[in-house]
Amino acid sequence: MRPRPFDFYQPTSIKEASEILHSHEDAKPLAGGQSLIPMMKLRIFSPSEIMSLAKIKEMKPYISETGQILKIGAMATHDMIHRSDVLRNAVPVLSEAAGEIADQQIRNRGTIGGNIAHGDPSTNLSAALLALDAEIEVQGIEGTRIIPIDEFFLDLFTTALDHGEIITEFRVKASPHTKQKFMKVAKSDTAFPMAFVALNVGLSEGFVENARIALGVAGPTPLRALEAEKFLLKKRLDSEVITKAAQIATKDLEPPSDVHASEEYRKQLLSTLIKRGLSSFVG
Amino acid sequence: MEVLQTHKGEVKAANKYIGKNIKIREDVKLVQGKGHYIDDLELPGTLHMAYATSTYGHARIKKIDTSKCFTIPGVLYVVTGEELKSRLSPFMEIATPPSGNLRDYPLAVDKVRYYGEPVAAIVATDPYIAEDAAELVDVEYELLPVVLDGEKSLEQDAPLVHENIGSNVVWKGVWDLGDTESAFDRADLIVEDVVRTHRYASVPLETNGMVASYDEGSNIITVHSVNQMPMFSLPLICAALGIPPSGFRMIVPPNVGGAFGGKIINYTHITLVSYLTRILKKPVKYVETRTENITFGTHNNERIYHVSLAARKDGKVLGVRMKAIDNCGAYPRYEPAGAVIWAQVVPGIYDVRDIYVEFIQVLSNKGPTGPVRGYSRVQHNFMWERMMNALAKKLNMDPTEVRFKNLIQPEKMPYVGPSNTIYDGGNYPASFKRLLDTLEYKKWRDLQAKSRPDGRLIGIGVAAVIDSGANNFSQIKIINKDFPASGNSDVGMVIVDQFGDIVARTGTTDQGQSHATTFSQIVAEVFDTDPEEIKFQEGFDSISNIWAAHSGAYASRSAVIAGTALYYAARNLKQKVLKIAQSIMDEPISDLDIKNKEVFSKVSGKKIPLAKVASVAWSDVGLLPDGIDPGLMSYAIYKPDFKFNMPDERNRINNTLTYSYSIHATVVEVDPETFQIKILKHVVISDPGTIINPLVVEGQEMGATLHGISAALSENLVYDDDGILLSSNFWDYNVIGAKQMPDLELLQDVTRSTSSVLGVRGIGEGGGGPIGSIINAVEDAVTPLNIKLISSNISSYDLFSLNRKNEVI
Ligand SMILES: Cc1cc2nc3c(=O)[nH]c(=O)nc-3n(C[C@H](O)[C@H](O)[C@H](O)COP(=O)(O)OP(=O)(O)OC[C@H]3O[C@@H](n4cnc5c(N)ncnc54)[C@H](O)[C@@H]3O)c2cc1C
Repeated sequence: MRPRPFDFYQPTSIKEASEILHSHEDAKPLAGGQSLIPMMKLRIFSPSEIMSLAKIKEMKPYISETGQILKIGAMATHDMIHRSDVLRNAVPVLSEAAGEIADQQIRNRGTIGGNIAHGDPSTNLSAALLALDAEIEVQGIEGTRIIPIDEFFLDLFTTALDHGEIITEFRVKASPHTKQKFMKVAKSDTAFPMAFVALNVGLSEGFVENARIALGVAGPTPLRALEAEKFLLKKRLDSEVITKAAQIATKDLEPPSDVHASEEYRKQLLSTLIKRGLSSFVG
Repeated sequence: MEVLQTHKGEVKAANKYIGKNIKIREDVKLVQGKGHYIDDLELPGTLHMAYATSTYGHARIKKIDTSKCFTIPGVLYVVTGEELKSRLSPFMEIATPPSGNLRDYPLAVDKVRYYGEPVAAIVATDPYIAEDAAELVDVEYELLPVVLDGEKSLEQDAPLVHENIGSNVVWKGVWDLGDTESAFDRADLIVEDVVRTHRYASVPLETNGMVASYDEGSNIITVHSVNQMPMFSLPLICAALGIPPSGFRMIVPPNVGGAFGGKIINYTHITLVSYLTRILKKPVKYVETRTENITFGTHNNERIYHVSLAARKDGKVLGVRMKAIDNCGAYPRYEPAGAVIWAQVVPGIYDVRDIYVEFIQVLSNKGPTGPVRGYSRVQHNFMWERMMNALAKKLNMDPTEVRFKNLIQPEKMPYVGPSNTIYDGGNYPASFKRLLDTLEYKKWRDLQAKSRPDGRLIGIGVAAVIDSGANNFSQIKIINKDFPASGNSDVGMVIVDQFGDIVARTGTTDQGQSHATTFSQIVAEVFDTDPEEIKFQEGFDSISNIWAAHSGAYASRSAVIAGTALYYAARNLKQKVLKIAQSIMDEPISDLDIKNKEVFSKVSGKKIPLAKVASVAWSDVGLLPDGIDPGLMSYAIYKPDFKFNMPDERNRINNTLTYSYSIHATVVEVDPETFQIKILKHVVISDPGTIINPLVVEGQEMGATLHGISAALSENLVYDDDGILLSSNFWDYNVIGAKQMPDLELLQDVTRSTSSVLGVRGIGEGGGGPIGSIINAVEDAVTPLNIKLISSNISSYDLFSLNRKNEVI
C-alpha cells in the first residue's frame, strides 16, 4: 500500500513541463492523484518519475465562456465543474456527471484532465464529453494541437496523447436546448460504477434532430452507440423507438466481466439506462 | 444510600446521571485529530516490518530466496517460516487433538494455506523500503489443489489443509436438547431448507497495528497494540515466544479506531514483532495495509445449515433439527470458540425447546476467521429467521403471524432456554407489535399487492437477533475441558486524588464505544457529581494499570462487567470518604452524603470539599481515624454469576450474562430491470436494558444496523475457484457508507436486565439484525420472479443471474 520509489518534479510553466516530459521517458504527470496514486499504492502501476501539474502557472483551474464556446482548464476539479452555474445551464450532462463521481473528497481533488487522460472506460467525464462532442487541447514540446474527443480514446488506458503531451483545456459548445442526462449504477458512491450513460439529444417538434449516446464501462474505451444514434435520427421518441434504440446500442457490446457484474448484466444495465434516459426526455 | 437502581435492592432514588444524554466527551477530541492511535506512536529508532504474502490459495513452499531483499539499502532482517519453526513454539490451540495438533506460526511453514498468507517478513528502516523489499522475496511454489467450501472439505478425497491432523475437521459437537423425536412425531408438517451465511470482514477504519520494543536491561518486551483481548492473548504470545508473562508488557493505546471483533487474532503479528525486536534490539512496528486487513484481518465464518423444522398447522414450531457446517478458513486461531458461541442463542427469540444440532467446524483454503460483530450468533439468528419465513411460505401464512405464534412470552421471563441460557427480560410480542405498527406493516402489504400488477417489486422482511453480551468463557470447556478459561471478570478502580478529583479506571479499553463518557456517568451517579467532573483514564497497560484476565472490549461486555466493577469500586470508596469525613466533621456517618465533590451533612448543612478529605487521606495521615488506611483508592473485581456456570453433559450452560435483542423490519424495492435493491424503510426495536447514555446506545445501534445492511447488500469476500481472493481492497470490497445509509427509525422498549447488577445489557454488537430482514424482504419482493435466496448476501448482480437462470429453465 505504499508506492515504489519515484523522483518528483514540480515545473512552474508548460514549457518547463514539456521539457521534463520530453527528456524523461518514464515521467508521468500528476494532477489530482485520484487515479494515479491508488494505482501506485497498490503497485499496479509504478512510474519512476512523477511530475506534478499543480504549480504550472498557465494551468490554474478555470472555467470560462467565450460566445458559444465553454472552456474548461484541465486542472478544473470535479467539484468546480459540478458547482459551476455556467456549466449547469449550458452543458448539464457534464455537471451531472461530475457530481456523480465518487465522494466529496475525491471530487475536491480529482480533475477533468486526469479523468480523461487516464483513458479508463469507467470515468464519468469521458462519457459526458463524448456526448458533448468536446475538443481537447493538448500541448507538447512541438506546440499545441486539438484532438476531437471521438479520436481520443484508443484502447484500455491508451489515448491519443503522445508521450510528453499534456492536456491543457477542454472545449465544448453550449447546448442549453438539447436534452441531456447522465445516469449511473454503482454499489456505493465510492465504488466504481457498474455502468453509466451520458445522453445528449436535440429534439425539434418531438423529432430527433441529433443524438449522441455515450456509454461507460461498456468496452475497453469510453464508447459511443453510433448505430443507435443514427437509428434515432428523425424519429419520434416513443416507447417502441426507445426500446429499439437501447437494443441496437447494446447488442454488439462486449463490456468487461468482474465480481460486480458480468458482461450480460452490464449490457442489461446499459440498455436500461439508455431507455430510462431517453424516456425522461419525453412526457 | 443505594443510589443506583439495582435489581436486588429497592429503588431508593431515581438515577440522576445514568440514562442521561450527556455529551460524548471523546468525540470532539477525535474529530479534531487529537486522539492517540497506534500509528501515531513513533518510538526512537523504530524499524518497520512488511510481509511478503502468498499469491496462491494452497501450495507447497519449495524454496524461498530472500537474498535479493538485501540489495535495497535499509533492509536489516528477513525472516521466514523456516526460521520461526525452530525458534518459536506453535501457537496454543483451543481444540484438543487431533485438530489441536495443527501447527500455526506467524509465518507460513512448509505450505501456504490461503491467498495472502504471510510467507516472509522484512524489517527495514522505513515502511516504504520494507514494502519494496517484500516484492523481492522469491518463492518457489508447488501448487496444491484447494478446498474452499465447507461441505467439500468434509469429502473423503478433499485436499487436507493440515495433513498432520488427518482430516479437515476442527471440532464436532452435538446438542441434543429436549426431545426432537417426539416433536417431529407430533408435527403436522416438516419444512426442510438450506441456509448459508457468507464471508465478510470486520473492516475497522484503523487496521491492526503494533509496536514492540525490547529492553535488554530488564529483559522485558513491551508491545503497544490494538489487541482487544490483551490478557487473553498474552499467554498465547508468551507461550509461542517461550518467555514468562513477567517478561512481557502489553499496552493498548488510549484510542483504537474500531475493532468489531477484528482485533483479537492479531496475536500472530504481535508475536512476530516481539520476536524481531528481541533479535534487532530496536522497536519494530507493523501496521496492516488495507489489503492485508481485508485479506487476513479476520473474516466472518461461513456456515451452511441443513435444517428440518417440525411445526403444527397453526404455525407453532415444535422442534428443529439441523446440521451446521462452519468454515473457519485455514487456521482456527480463536476458533473453534465460535463453534459453541452460537449456542448463546439456541432458540433465537422463539419458544422452541426440542432442538437437535450437529455442529461441525472445518478448515478450508480461505483466510482465518474469528469474531466479527455478532460473532457466531449472527449465522444462527439468520438461520432462524430464514426458517420462520420458509415455514410461513409453506403454510401460506403471513411471516409475522408465524413469528407471533412462537415468540417467547413476557411472563416466561427470565426465560431458561433449552440449553440453560437465561434470557434476562424483555417483552418480545409487545415490541414486535410496536415495530410493525411503526413500520406501517399493513400499509406496505397493501401497497405491495396493489403495485405488483404494475411490475413493482416491493418486499417486506422482518428478523430478530439476540445480541447476547458479557460472555461466559466456560463455554470453551465444551470444546476442551482443560482449556484454562472460564467465567468472566473485570476490574474497576476509583481514586479521589490529592486535590479531591475523582478519577476512574477500568481494565477495558474501548474502540470507539465511549467508555469515558458512560463509565464517568456510573461513577457520577455514586458520587452525585457532574459526570464532566469525573476523570477517566484510558489505556490498557499490563504493568502499570489495572486489569483482569478477561479485560477488553469484546462480546458486548464492558458496560455490564467493567461497569459493575467500577460501580462497586465507587461505592466502596464513597464509604471510605464518608468514614474519614465523619471524623473531620464530627458528625455521624449516617447524616453525611456526597454531592458535587463536597461532603455535606443532611442534618447540620455543614459541608467540606472532597479535597479536604483527600488531603487527610493521602498526606495529612496523622489525622486519620484509627483503623483507616491512608489513601482514597478503591479497587473492585467483579465476576458475574451465570447460574449455570459450567457446561453439563448435554452442553447446556448459560454461556453469556445478558441477552438484549433487536428486531428489524425492512421494506425494499427491487428494480425489475437493473435489479438494484433500495431500502424504502427500516425500523429497529431493541431492549438495551437500563441505558447509561442514550446517545451512545443509539450510536452503537446505528453502527450495527449499517454494518448489517452493508453485509447483506454489499460486503462479500469472493474467492475464485483457485482460491484467489478477488475482493481484497476497497475497489472490490465495497463497504456502504453514511450516504447509502437509509433513514433509520430506532425504537426501544426498555426493561431492566434481570441478570446484571446495573440492569444494563450489552448492546455493542447488534448481531447483524438487518441481514435477516433484508434477505427476507428481498426474497419477498422478487416473489413474482420465483427466485429463492439461500445466502446472507445478495447483490443486484446475483438477482440478475438468478432471474436469468429461471428464464433459461
Ligand atoms: C474511490 C474512488 C472512486 C472513484 N469513482 C469514480 C467514478 O465513479 N467515476 C469517475 O469518473 N471517476 C472515479 N474516480 C476517479 C477520479 O475521478 C479521478 O479523479 C480521475 O479519474 C483522475 O483525475 P486526477 O486529476 O485525480 O488524475 P491523476 O490521478 O492525477 O492522473 C490520472 C492519469 O491522468 C494523467 N494526467 C492527469 N492530468 C493530466 C493532464 N492534464 N494531461 C495529461 N495527462 C494527465 C496522469 O498522468 C495519470 O496517468 C474514483 C476515484 C477513487 C479513488
